[in-house]
Amino acid sequence: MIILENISKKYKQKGLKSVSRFLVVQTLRSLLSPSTTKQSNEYFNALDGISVQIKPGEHVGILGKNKAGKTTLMQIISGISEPTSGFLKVEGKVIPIFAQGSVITPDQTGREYIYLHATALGYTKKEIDSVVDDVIAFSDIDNIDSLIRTYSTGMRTRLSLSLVLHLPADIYIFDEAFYGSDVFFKDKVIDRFKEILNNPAKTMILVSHNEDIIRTFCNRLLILENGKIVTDGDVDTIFAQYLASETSEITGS
Amino acid sequence: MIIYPNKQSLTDYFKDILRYRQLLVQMSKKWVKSKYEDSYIGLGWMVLSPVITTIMYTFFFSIMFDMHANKVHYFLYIYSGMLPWIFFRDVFMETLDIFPKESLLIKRTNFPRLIVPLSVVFNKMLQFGFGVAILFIVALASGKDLSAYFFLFPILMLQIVMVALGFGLLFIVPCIIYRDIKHMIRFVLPLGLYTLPIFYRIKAVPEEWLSYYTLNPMVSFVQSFRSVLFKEEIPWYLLAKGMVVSFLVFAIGIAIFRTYEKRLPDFI
Repeated sequence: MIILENISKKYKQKGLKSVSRFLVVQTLRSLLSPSTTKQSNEYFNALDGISVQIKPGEHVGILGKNKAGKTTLMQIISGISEPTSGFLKVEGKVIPIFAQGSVITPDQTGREYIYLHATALGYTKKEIDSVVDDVIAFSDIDNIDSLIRTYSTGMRTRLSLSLVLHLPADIYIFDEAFYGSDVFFKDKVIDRFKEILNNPAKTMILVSHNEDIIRTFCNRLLILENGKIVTDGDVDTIFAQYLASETSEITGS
Repeated sequence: MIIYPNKQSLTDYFKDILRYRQLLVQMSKKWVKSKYEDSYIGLGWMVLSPVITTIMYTFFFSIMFDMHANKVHYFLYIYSGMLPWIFFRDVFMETLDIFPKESLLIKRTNFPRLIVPLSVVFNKMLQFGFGVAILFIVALASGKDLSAYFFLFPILMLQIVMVALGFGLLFIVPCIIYRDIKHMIRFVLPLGLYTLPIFYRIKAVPEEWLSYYTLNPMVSFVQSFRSVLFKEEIPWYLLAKGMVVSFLVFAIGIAIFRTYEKRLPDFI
């Protein structure tokens, strides 16, 4: 069960990363317009009062243009980042995977990556030991004990996806996770994922720009715009009728 | 489980860190591997680095001050001060660097962030351990006896970890937000070496300054460490003062770090 009540997240519009730049900018601002040294548009709302409930077993797709707040929302639900205000309750083990090959460190071997990343996700060595052979077999990587710097981008994506698809969890969060994988592996992932989601207790949140992927996995669709949920409903209804023009703009289809 | 707002007690916070101890070990291994794997001497650099630095300082100061003292004893004197200084410097500076280096892991997984700087401490403790082993061998070979107060060693280690990690935790967030601070620290930190009784004796410090001078917890550490190693009288008052200051630095550091911990992915 995931409960979000009035969740907001503010970011600084422009990061003043250096003290000297900060001092120069502040001095210039005060010289040019002394009355408006503190600008009100310094922050922007990545998420703006999101309230939603996702029940166990629901498979929710999230669609939105760039900078709609999709990744921020996923990071907050995963507990990686903290909202600025609101209330968030998550029941069950969450496993997130984000775009572009996840956390691949070139100086590790594939096997070391499996252990390090799974440990960072909160799994014990015993739990990892029980799945490591399946992960390696599924990823189709022969040289698992070679350094990751020798792997191609596709191999890295295969490794990170294989890992999360074999770790036990209650809630799966996929944020553009299929990015970078080839067609054959994508089919394999889809089959494996269908197998996982056959269990009615498994919940999934899937962020994707791909209409087919959303139609395959999701029974509910949320559309995010400027940090707000603008549509929440049945996938087919939303795609077919209500937001046909907007979704085609987002998905490019 | 309520994720936000979540006021986790300090006990639960440290229990959580304990639960992730395996990650701590793996991250430490990863750092050792990435740092030394491609070199011929490998882990040997952990031992050689402080030894070479100390030999250079020993020769430099012996010549500069025209010292006729036993060179081995002078080496031991400097080395016993350099080891803690190098530990402090490396933990402090690498703590400031490590979050930007681990930004992908921070932005994609949810684990207690304190594990990351703790992995630095682990590595540097290993290096410190090698250094102390060399120190013992040279000290025993040169005829020095070890103190019966050897049991104080873990307490001293706790003190230096609290100081180095505490300062690192204090500066992590400011250094990430305002990058200039780190550059400034890089210039200022080397001067810290000369504020410690490493090349000179504490007796050289004027009496009226001594109470302020010993507020530096590293002064307490260096003096106590040498006393334990070289069978000298333990400076109990100095040790206690150092422990109190170290604890305060660590407590403030951890309090600030906990406040910003969950916002680190926003900064890096």
